[in-house]
Amino acid sequence: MRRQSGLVICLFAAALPLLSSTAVAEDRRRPIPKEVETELIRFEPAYATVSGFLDKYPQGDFVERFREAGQAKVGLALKDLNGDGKQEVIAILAGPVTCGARDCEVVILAPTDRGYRTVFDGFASSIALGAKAKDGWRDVITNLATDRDNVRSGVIWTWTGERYAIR
Amino acid sequence: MRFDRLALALTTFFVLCGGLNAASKSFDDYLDALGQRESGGRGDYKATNPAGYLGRYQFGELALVDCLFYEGDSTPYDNDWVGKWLIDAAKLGVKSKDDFLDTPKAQDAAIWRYSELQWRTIVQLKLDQYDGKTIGGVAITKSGMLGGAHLVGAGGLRKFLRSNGQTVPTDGNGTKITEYIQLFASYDVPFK
Repeated sequence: MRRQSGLVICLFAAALPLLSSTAVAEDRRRPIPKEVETELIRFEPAYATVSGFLDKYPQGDFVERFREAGQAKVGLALKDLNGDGKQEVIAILAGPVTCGARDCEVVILAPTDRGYRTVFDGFASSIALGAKAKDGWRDVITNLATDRDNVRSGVIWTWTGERYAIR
Repeated sequence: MRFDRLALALTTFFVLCGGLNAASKSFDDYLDALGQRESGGRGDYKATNPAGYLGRYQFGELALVDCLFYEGDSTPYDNDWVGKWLIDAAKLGVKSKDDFLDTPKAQDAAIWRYSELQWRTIVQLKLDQYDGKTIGGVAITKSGMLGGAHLVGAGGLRKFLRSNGQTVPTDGNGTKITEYIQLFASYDVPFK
């Protein structure tokens, strides 16, 4: 018994360095079915500073977050994501605070009676729109890519009734 | 009795090895691990991805603009690399996208500079005060913070730390910042 417990302690100690340096990777990319039409969003350089964007869009739950974005430039695309005839604002914040080496912060703002409300806040190098899903809101796909076999994949964000979340 | 002593000796040995391993992780080791992770486990300096990201560390245009390697162009959100390469890149023999892919020395210089810029932003945002704390069950180290900022920027790191781990930003591939903070923990960081 004592031998066994000694062996267990020994093996645990041997595994400690491995346990401390290993993180579990989770692949959240999904294949996009062939029948789903996707539309890649093209951001237009719109504002050289966040202040310029806030002059045009001064009201909503995003204002404080945008003010913290530092020297970011704002790229913009306007799209009606839910077919209600009103355009959502899709903004990419490109600056030293808001970007990693590859992906930058992307925010989708939906119009309300009092300005705009954040329905998506994530990081991406590209944004595409996918199929219509719940309540008529189109899926949002981040980092859409096509492999050598022409299979498309990306992370699919679906409307939850309040905002977008990863499917 | 003899076996117990052997087990104790082995335990001590492995714990010491673990300690030495943790203490001997240099910043070059960090960059090596980062390069392996970013280029799909191959560490390939010639790696490209379909969205136009380049090399071992998968740089986009905006990051190399920050590094003063690339001037930028009229399509900053597309990595089409149609703009000019700057003098800092030229000094390392890089005047084009292909040159950059063919020049490991330039990629290594760029990631050093980019990491230094990221660390400066982390300090400006006063996030370095979280070093040594545990947030959302994750041990925070300087190099872990750099890894997290490499993934989702210092702003994404700030969201995680300020929310006490309640908000976990992910990159466009769905990789959580917590994965990078853990994966790149406890390397030496040479920046103040």
